[in-house]
Parts: sequence; structure tokens; C-alpha cells
Amino acid sequence: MVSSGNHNSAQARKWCVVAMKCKNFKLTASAYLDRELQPQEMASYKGHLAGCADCQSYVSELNGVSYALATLPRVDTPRELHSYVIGPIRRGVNRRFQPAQRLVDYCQRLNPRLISYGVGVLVSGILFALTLAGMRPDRVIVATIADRYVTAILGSDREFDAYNDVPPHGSEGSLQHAYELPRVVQDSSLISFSNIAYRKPGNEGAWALVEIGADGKGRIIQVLEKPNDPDVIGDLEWSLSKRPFQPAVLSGHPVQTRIVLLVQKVDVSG
Amino acid sequence: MSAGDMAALEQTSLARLDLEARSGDDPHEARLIARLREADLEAFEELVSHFERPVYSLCFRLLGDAEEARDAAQETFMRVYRGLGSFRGDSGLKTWIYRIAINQAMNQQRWWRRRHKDQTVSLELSRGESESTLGNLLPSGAASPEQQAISNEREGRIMRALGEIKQDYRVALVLREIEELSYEEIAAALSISIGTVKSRIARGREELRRRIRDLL
Repeated sequence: MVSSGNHNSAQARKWCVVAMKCKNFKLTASAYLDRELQPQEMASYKGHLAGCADCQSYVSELNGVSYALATLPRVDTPRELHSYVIGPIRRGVNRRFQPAQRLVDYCQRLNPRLISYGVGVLVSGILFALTLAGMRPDRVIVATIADRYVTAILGSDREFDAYNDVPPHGSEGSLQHAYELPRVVQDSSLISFSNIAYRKPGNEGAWALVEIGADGKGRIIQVLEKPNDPDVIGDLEWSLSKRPFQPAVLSGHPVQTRIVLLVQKVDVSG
Repeated sequence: MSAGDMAALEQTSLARLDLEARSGDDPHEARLIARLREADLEAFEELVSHFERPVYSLCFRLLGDAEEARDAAQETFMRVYRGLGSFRGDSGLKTWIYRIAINQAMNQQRWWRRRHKDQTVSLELSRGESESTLGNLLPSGAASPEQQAISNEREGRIMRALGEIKQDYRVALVLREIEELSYEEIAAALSISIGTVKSRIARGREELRRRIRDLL
């Protein structure tokens, strides 16, 4: 029994030695296949291989792996690759010194997603600004009204005297000295009256008797028809004080006069 | 094959690290490099014509996707063009280009994985997918449809297994087995020692063997 036990132990040790040896040789099997072993290592490995069926099988399998990879079908190069490479370089050589092209090249190297985000924000901002600009009151219409109706009013001295309740002067009934009624000055009046337009939303209307001084300043003499919002009168008073008028002219000289002023605010949407 | 064994193999071979032949050893390559440094576009076209197939093939085998491989190959050549001024010729032109291609492919794969974590990169896609023609898809004259199908299935299995092994091993295996680079060239292209090359190739083969054993 003792003898048998020793024999089994010796067998096990021998098996372990062989297993370790095989393991070490497996380490070099790959280099062996590639003929990358030193002559001494090669001879040693060949010696072991000749008597080890396991290692022969292992080398055969590794050889099969190499063969499987080496015999993979050839990859076809995309026909467009050459032009994709050469095209940009050729263009770059031709336009190397053009700042616009360099800018484009620089942008192309950036993250396309960031560029698209930036362009999107820019376009949105422009559209938003255009929308806001389109919602402002139409300045052209106001100017047209001023040109066609206010500045065109002319009359004689007699009419002026009668309208302003003053004694006739100069030659009685003369039509020689035409005068000009006060009229709004286009730019300054738009600025002056704009505070009425923008203060509150909603339509408003008011009539007032206004005295226009020789300096172009106006003041309310009497409110003939009150607006819904009493603040409009205050705004109107402020606007009139900002010289929005060209005063009435009599014989080439500015004079004080009175007019009935209609203020009408209409909200325009869209 | 334990990690300790591999480390020992790397150490013993570290001293034998020897970069491949200098570019000056090949007169034609030396002339080409000289022309490239002078920004000769025709020289660069010659370089692209010579290397576009191996570079694209390498990128495709590493990335497993035709479109990605094309983009990586394109970017590789752009980097080569931009980097010609700084190319010192310490390593050969081929290994330098391969190094750029490998880095580009690996960067692209990392970028892809970061943005598509829920997706896997398929290594089973057909070759040259972007430019496949009907003629390419038809079986060749020598192979029957059944043989072609079996061949395609086999290729798919191998490529899938290749995609499953560690990236470092895959790169080394592709360079060795498919691009047929020597150990020295691989060491130069990856900037590692020959011992590490041996180790990675051996481990890669071992991992691949386990996965495609039934095909062998």
C-alpha cells in the first residue's frame, strides 16, 4: 500500500511537471508560429512538441486562428476615398491665402452640432427681431397724413384774424398776405406723441383746443372731448410742450394761434 | 497563459526592441518624403494611392463599419498631410501612417462609444458597404451560393469574435495577421516593445481561439 501510494504521488508530480512545461510552451507557441523564437528556444520547443500531443493540437489550433484571419476576404477601398482626401487638400492649396476659405476650413474643424446650434440661435434671433420690428406703429402712414392734410392748409390774413378772434390788421379784406396754419413737424412730433401711443394698449380719442405759440410749443386751452383714460390728457400736455409744431406764419413771421386738435390712438395688431 | 508569464515574456524581449529600418534605407521612400516636405501635391497623391487600401482596410478591421472606416481613413490622410512638416523620419513612413491610422480609429471608436452607449459597433457588416454594387454581392464564379453563404457566415463569426477581444490584442492581431506587419513594425507603429507585441499577439490568438474553436 505504501509503495502504491508513493507511486501515485510520483505520477502526480510528473503530471504536474509536464503540465507546467506545456503551459510554458504554450506561452511561446504564438512566437513559434511567427518564427520569432531564438534558435535555442526553437530547438527546445520542437523537442517538446515532438512528444506532446496536447501541444501539437494547441499549435494546430493557433495556426488555424492565423489562417482564419489571414484568409478573410480582401476589403474593397471605397472609390470616393481618394477624391475625399485629395479634393479638400487641392482646394486648400489653391485657396490657402484666402481668409474666407480659412474661416470655412476652421468652421469645418469645429463640432458640427455646435455650429448648427449657433446658426439656429442666430436665425431665431433675426426672425424674432424682425417680428418685433413689424409690430411697431407704421411711421409712414403718420407722415403721409401730415403731408397731405396739415401742411396743405393755407389761407388769407382775414381768415386768420377771424379764426383767432383778433382784430383785422393790415389792409382790410386783403388776400395779398397769405398765412400758413401751424402744422406738426414730422420727426419731432412723432417722437413727442409716441409716449401716448406706447403707454397703454387700447384705442383712445380726445378733442382739445390747443394754443400753439410762436416758439412751436403748445398748451391745452380746453378739453372738448375727454378720453377714457384721463392720463392721456397729461401725456398730451407733455407732448405739446416738446415743440412738436411749426408755428403759424403770418407775413413771414411766426405767430401764436389756436387749433382744435384731435388725438386718436388706434392699436394695430399683426 | 498567466499575466506573470506574459510580463516575463515582455521583460525578456524588452531589450530587443528595435525600430524598423530608417526611412533613409529606402531611396524611393526617401525621395518621396523629400517631395512631400516640399508640399508636392503629386507626391501626396502618390502616397495616398499607395496607402489608401491598407489604411482603409486597417480602419475597417478595427472599427467594423464601412462609413466609420472611410471617415477614419480620410482623417488619417489629412493628419498625415498636416503632419508632414513635423515628420522626422525616426520611423518608417509606413509605420508612421499606420500609427496615425490606429490612433484615429481608436479615438473614433471611443467617440462613438461615448455617444452610442446603448449600441454596439457591429463587426459583421459587409465589406465596403458604402460602395457595394450588385456585382460585388453576387457570388464569384468559383463559389456556389451555398459556399458563398457559408463563407459570409464564417467571416461574420470571425469578425464578431475579433470585436469581442480586448482592443489592444485586436490591434496587434490585425496588424500581424491581416496587414502582415512584422513584430518590429508593429512595435514601432504602437510605440511598444517587441515583448509586448509578442504578448499581445499571443493573448489575442488565445482569446480568439476560444471563441472560434468550432470553426478551426
